[in-house]
Amino acid sequence: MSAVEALAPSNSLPARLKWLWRALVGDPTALAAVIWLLIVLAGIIAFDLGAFSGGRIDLKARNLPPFDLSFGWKLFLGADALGRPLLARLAEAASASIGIALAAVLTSLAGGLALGMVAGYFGGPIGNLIMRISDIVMGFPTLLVALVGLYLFGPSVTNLILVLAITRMPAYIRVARAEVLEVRERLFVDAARVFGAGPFWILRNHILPIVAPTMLTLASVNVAMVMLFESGLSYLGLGIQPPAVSWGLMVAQGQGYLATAWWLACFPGLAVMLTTMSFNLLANWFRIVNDPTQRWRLTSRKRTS
Amino acid sequence: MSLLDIRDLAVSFDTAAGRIQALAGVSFSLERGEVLALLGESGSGKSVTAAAIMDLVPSPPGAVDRGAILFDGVDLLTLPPRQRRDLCGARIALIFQDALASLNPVYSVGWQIGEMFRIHQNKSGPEIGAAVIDLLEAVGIPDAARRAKQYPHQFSGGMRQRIMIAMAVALSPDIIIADEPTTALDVTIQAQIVDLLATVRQRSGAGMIFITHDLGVVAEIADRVAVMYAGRIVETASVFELFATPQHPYSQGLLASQPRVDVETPDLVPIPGSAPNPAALPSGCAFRTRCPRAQDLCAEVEPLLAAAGPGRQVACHFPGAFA
Repeated sequence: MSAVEALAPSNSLPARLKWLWRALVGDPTALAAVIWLLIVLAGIIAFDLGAFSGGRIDLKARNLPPFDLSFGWKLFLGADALGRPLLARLAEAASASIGIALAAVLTSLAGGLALGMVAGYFGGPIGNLIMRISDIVMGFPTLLVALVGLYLFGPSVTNLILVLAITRMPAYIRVARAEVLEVRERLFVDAARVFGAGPFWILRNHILPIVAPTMLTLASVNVAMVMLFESGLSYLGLGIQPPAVSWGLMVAQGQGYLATAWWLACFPGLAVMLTTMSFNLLANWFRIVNDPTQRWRLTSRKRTS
Repeated sequence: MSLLDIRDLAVSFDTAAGRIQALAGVSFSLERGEVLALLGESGSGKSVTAAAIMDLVPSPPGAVDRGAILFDGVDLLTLPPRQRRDLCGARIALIFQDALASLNPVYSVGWQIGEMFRIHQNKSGPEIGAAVIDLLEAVGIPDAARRAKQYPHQFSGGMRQRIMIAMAVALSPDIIIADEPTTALDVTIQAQIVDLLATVRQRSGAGMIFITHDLGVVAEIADRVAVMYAGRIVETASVFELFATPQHPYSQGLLASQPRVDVETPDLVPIPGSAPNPAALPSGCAFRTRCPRAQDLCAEVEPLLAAAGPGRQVACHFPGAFA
């Protein structure tokens, strides 16, 4: 395969996957991110399959310190204040934390992108209405909106996701609108119009691909924010309800033991950090993969080193 | 009936300096298979004419004030947006000056040429792929199957313009509008692109409006020329007549300011002054402040485009050969 051909992904699916794999290997940080997310996924699946069963409350193992294999591999990361193995708790919390964060971020991404693109491309009264409503949502402190919303509608997982999604949405709307305002003046948009493309064709095929990388980067940054916000709400008793658990809730619960049992708050905190960092790195990798003028960096780096 | 008949088209823009009349009643027609050159300096309204035909006048600040654009007898200006869009690309195609900016950087050029078929027709994927490769070969891009997968930034300026031409002729339109397609290219490539445009046009039998300020290109490609000045057409003539016996003083000035290889003229003769401020045009004839033949009448009455022999029109009170 010549160097020029290697620049563009081929059309057939296996060739495409092979190319994606090469692009992934070409970016070690993205590869590390994928490995971490796979570990987390394995933890979630293992928990659902019951690999951590038997890890019930055991007051003898209260605040058991980590890195000690004499009590079995389940207690390798120690135990929490009620003697539950921390490893099992982390795996159990992973699905809630990541699930809620992804659902909330994807909802606000989809909603913000759609509303922002309409506001940016068409403008007019509808665009004004969208922007003023998002201004109003932005005008209230996020925590206040969340508290009132969850107090009124009750603290269920669905409501939590909706509240997180709606309070974050104005940021997406504004960024999407600003990007569309710039892109829609580019000549290729005029060219598409001249060639007979309708507004929705232009939005989907010509504006969305240019706007998407920025929005994905924003979303990946927001995953961390939403995870922390969810933990804050859980801490206040309006988020995840015990005995269900999320990483944020674990941090909140472990906070009181920081001086005596640091691992209670530290390991879930580390999990949040690694996971959000992985999403950031993957978003960055995804941006480069989708930029035809940049993607050669991923596939050609291997050859030079 | 003409293929395209533009009648008294007026377009204006709101600017900080007030309302500017970009087109002040432009009328011309294009026959099937004819190449009409719109000739004029920057700001004379050439590109706005193309924009008005393609529904690209940004509104606001721009607006089409009056006039009609009859395409095959149908007024484009009163057509519902949906139907007008169906004509764009399929029956009237536009080629921009800046080919790189007209191509979307995130798609392969093959995808973008294929877009024409996806917008207007229900062709299957393999059919589109084959048609795209045929088009790329027709516009002289070697190794078309491989090049179709590449992205705009991997092509040279001339190649990009070839791709734009391939997109424009994809659906065999009746009219190709080329808005200064060679201005951004260097001279050797210019000649190739003009040749290519002439060949693809002849092959499809389409009419063409060629917008340019380059008299050399006009002589090469056009059948008929409309000279524009300050948003008006000041003279229309066949290309031979215009070059041999220009009637309007502005056309004469343009020709005199071009270097020629056949005549021993040591100095080029520029047109005195500069293009008028469109927000404050002179009264009467817009050209009178730069015109060697201007009289009192020119300041009072705006000259209208009037017949001056078979197939030619001049908008001047005192037309004729150089005195």
